Amino acid sequence: MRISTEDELRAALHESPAPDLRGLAVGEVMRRGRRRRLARRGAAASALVALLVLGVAGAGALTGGQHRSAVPASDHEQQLVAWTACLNSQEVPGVLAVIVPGNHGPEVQFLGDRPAPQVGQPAPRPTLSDDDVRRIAANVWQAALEQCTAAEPGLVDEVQARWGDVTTVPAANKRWMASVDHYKADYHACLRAHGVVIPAEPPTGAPIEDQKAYAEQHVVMYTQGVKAGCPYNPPTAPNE
Amino acid sequence: MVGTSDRRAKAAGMAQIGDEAFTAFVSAAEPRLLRAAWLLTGDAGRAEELVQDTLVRTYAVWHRVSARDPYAYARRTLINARTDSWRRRRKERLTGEVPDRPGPDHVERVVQRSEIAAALQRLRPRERQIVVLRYYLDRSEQETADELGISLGTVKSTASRALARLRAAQDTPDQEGAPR
Repeated sequence: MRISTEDELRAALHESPAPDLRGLAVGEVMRRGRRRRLARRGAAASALVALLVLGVAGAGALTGGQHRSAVPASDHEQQLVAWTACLNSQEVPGVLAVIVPGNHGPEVQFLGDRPAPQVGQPAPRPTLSDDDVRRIAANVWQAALEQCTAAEPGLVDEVQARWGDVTTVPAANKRWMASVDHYKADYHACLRAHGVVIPAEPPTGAPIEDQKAYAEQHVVMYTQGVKAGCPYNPPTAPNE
Repeated sequence: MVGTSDRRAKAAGMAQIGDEAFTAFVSAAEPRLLRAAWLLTGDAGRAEELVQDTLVRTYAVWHRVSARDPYAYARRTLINARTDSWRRRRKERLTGEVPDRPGPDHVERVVQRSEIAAALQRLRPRERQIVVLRYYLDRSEQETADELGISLGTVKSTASRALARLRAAQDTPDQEGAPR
């Protein structure tokens, strides 16, 4: 083999015998690819849902904490994503379960289906009482226990088909998310001033029951906050 | 309103079509990707791992890349994944090949492939990337620059330097032994 020119190098690379190289069975590639896609979506869902928190009609409670960049999802995150996707596939009226990024990892929230307050207008009275919220939440959890204990990765596909594919957060959304962080600080200050308890986040990897309890406490917090007259005028998402 | 079961059925149907297309893509692209990976790594086992990882990554985003140019995505993934694996280079080398098979043809082929693999392994990682992209994967200088995120001038100078090093290497005994 003699390599002096570009053509000789090209010929050597194309024509020199290679060892017997074997690829993985395509079925196994696809199986691993699905797992990888699920892991990626676990991270993407955190960003996606952060955009949805204020974007869906009647967005509900806000959580404290920094938004997380897209990173590979842990098994726990995947579990949350699958579980949340399963919940929403049950189409419980008036409730949307979402995962939002928290200070210590993703967390589940339930967004009540209520009118979104308008900028500059007094916060409307909640259309659901505390008991209503609790009852709906309880129904959701019952559905989760009955229907979603063995959530399948395909359910995540369904959620993504409904909400779209978001794997990166555009700069405009990052700016919006930063403004949301500022808003949350004011919102939480109002809640505290009116004696509304802001629930503490469970640590990363906490049992799913703790995540559910946290979500319930958030629903209560939002409801009490609206009753207390705390303004709920979050910045408008850039994609709205 | 479309029901949940309808959406699931539709999603399943689209997934099946996507899987068939991906299978066809693998059949067409895998041989070239494997050879490119072997040229980059100089090792059959690591090349196979690299291509497997590349195809898994490609499948994970198949719904997004299949309508565009999945081969281009896989090619870029291969190059970038190779960069990653250089950082966590494994010390053991896997082999499924018995080294003492008889037969002059086999020996000749092993020698030939050892020569090109050994020559490439003497290059710096960036040089090897550019050589493989330019002269095996037949990318233009500009396309190579775009895929690696470097300037056109860097591609030209690095390719020229790599070729010079390959010429010089032929006159210098391999100190480390030829990788397989």
